[in-house]
Amino acid sequence: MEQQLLQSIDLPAVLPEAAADEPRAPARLLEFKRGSFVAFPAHATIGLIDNPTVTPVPGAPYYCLGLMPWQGRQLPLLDLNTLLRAYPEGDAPPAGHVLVLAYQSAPGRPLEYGAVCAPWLVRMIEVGDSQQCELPCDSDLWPWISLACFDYDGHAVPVLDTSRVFGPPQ
Amino acid sequence: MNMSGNFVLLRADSLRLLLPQEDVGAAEYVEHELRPSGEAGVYEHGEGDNLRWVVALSAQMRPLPGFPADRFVLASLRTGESALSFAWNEVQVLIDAQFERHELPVAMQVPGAPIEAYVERDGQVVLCTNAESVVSYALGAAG
Repeated sequence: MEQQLLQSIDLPAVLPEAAADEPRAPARLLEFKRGSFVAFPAHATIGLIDNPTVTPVPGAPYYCLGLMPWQGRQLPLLDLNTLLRAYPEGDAPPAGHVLVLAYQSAPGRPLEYGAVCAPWLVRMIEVGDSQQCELPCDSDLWPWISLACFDYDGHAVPVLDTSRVFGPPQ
Repeated sequence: MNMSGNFVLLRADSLRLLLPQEDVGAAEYVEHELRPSGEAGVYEHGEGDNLRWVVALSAQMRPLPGFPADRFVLASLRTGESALSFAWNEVQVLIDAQFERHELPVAMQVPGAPIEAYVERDGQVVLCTNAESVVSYALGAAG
């Protein structure tokens, strides 16, 4: 099911902001809250899963919903909206869709996996260098977890470093 | 990493904990009406020498403000300090059990947190901990 979900959103969208003849790289765009976007390198996005079973873990960071099963292992499931605004919801929302991501904790290390909540749009886009812009200013975490930032339809979209997102809690 | 020995599995709704057997006292049924103790989330069970102070934990391992009707078995956790009993949906003693222990993912590791690892049993995630961690976290000292 996760493969079907990803295929259905894999049609690249070329943004009008990108110059027609410049090289472009694919990226996975995630609307993590209404009107706010992040992107991931396309090769880091593995699957989209609907409503996984989540096991809460007492004492885990407030932005971590718990462990979720995926392909014979348990992945940490993080809520980027809660992480970035730095305080938890009174009542944790249901997981809904989640995006499975790959990362390496260090060069040469085996791939590891984690997941983030995907409550809204997830789609593949192509991004060019001419779209580069400054990071948003609404979270102190952006410089820590971002590799770059580009403009998408008037929104500043940080490209997240999955090894930082799933690294030790800050 | 494999771990083996005698353990007790404690379940409070969706919260499943695995503790060393020596950390858990004898189980007893809830046989008396539970009375509010005057302290939030703590109830009295029994009287006289059999008086127990009882806590029912949530899935987040915090005391529930109300006592769920389906918590029918009590078990104390041996910490050397606390005289609390905890109310569970299920208590299972697992003798000579073997598990594959998984450390929590790095993103979930918080110093001093009550859970460091988990095992899987019958398709369920069971969180590894000990009596001291459960009691201190449940009473707020670690969280």
